[in-house]
Amino acid sequence: MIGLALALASGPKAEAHPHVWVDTVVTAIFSQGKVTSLREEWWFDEDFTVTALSDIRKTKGMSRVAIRPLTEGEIGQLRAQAFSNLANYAYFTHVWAAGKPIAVAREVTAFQARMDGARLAYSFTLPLAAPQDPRAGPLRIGVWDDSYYVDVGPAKGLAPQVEGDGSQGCAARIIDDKDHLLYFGAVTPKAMEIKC
Amino acid sequence: MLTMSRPLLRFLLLFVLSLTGALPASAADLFGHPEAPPAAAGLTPQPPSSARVMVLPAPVADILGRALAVQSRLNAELRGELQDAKRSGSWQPALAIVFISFLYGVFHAAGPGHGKIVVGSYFLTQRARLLHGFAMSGMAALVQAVSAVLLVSLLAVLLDLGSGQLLAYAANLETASYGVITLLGLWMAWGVLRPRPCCDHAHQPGHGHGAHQTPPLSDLARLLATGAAVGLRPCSGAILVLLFTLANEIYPVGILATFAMGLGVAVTVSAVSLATFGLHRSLAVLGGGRHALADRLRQAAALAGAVAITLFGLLQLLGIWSGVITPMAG
Repeated sequence: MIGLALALASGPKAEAHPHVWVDTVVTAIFSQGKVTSLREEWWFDEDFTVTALSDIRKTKGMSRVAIRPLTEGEIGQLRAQAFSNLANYAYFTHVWAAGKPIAVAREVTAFQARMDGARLAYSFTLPLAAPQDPRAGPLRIGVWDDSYYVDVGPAKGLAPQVEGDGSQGCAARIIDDKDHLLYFGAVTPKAMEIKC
Repeated sequence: MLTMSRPLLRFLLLFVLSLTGALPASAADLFGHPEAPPAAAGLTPQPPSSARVMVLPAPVADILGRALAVQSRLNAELRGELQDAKRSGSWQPALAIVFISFLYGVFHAAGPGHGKIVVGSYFLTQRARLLHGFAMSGMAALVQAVSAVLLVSLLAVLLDLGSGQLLAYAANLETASYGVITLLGLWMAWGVLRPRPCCDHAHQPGHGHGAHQTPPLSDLARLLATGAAVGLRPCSGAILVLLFTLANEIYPVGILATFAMGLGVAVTVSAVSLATFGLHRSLAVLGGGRHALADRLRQAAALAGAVAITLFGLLQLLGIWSGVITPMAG
């Protein structure tokens, strides 16, 4: 009993069942035959959208978190309050080149936020620490939250892409990543694998 | 009603004090992660690999995975129904919302948390009746629902705070919850160790144990107080639903959903109390005809349970204060 309590208290946030759902699509950007950065698009669920907007829109309190286009100021606030802390968590982006973990940059470029219906959507470009050559070994990119507070998964109906100089002959597909199980082994995340 | 008003007042006092307490609770950001100060510019460290984490055996992990998938589906259904309720402006989706919220509560409570450790420890080791299991579980779930509604109503409706600040206050409630659990564990241990007039005499042959099965009234109070302590921490899922319905001007629907969720949580936690209660009873039989030995074993088990609950509360508190555990990340 005590052992169980210890284990659960010290494991990845024992109560971290998902409370935020994110759909993503990733495009691997090539330059001179190597992947240099990832273009990511994220769509949040409606509850999170309201929660995030409630902090930055103060129209008559909580009662009117209107679904209307974001202003530049609001985009900046969203980035500061509901995105920038993810720099400490690699923006949920895990990369392995032939099984070896690859670091990503702390800062993203081309950050944009918009309303897609009732869902908040982000897009940004995340540079890799060093360009990776998928021809030297499969490149695996997984976007997920290790603590599983956020349930991140590929958006249905949107396939991962490769583009750029040297991407010809390379293909990306979604796989079940059994090498990196989440949440006490109960969840198998999906990753994108690039092979040339 | 008058006898209930004192504990009720104490609870409300504790609730408000927890909110205003200057506990060093570093709440989670909107993604459930602690706000870490920005490290040196450059590359991010690779996030901790999941390989270091303990992995459950395959059948259990499978069941947990399925429960999580059902929970996610239910949450998505719930969001859909809530949006329908907003659009149509009618109460027709209300039945679906209540049903889905109830199911969500059942599955949500199946994962770690929601008082199963405390409730399980209690009924595994303490003398209690079957109905007490439902009482404690129901109390925990009810208080948890009330806690969420009170929190959102006070902070978001009355004080017009944003969700970030709301979560910070909720984190204080969680810390307070563990504090009270620790104290109650100590109280339980004291209850076991202090001499009891009724059980100190030597056992005569034919002396029935039926009379000893009914716990004294203070045990019942302790039991309900433990349930309330567990429920002090509001459920994140309920908070998010409440905020959503508040923002979409269908707040009463959110309150309804929260209590339906609470009912679902009560069912699951009651099941845990039933299981551990049954286990306790079958273990008690092991004492055999040796009454003195059985009594000693029972005392030892009760003490062990009280210690376990105390340690659980203490560990969580230490975890929060040391930053290892992020409150409200679940």
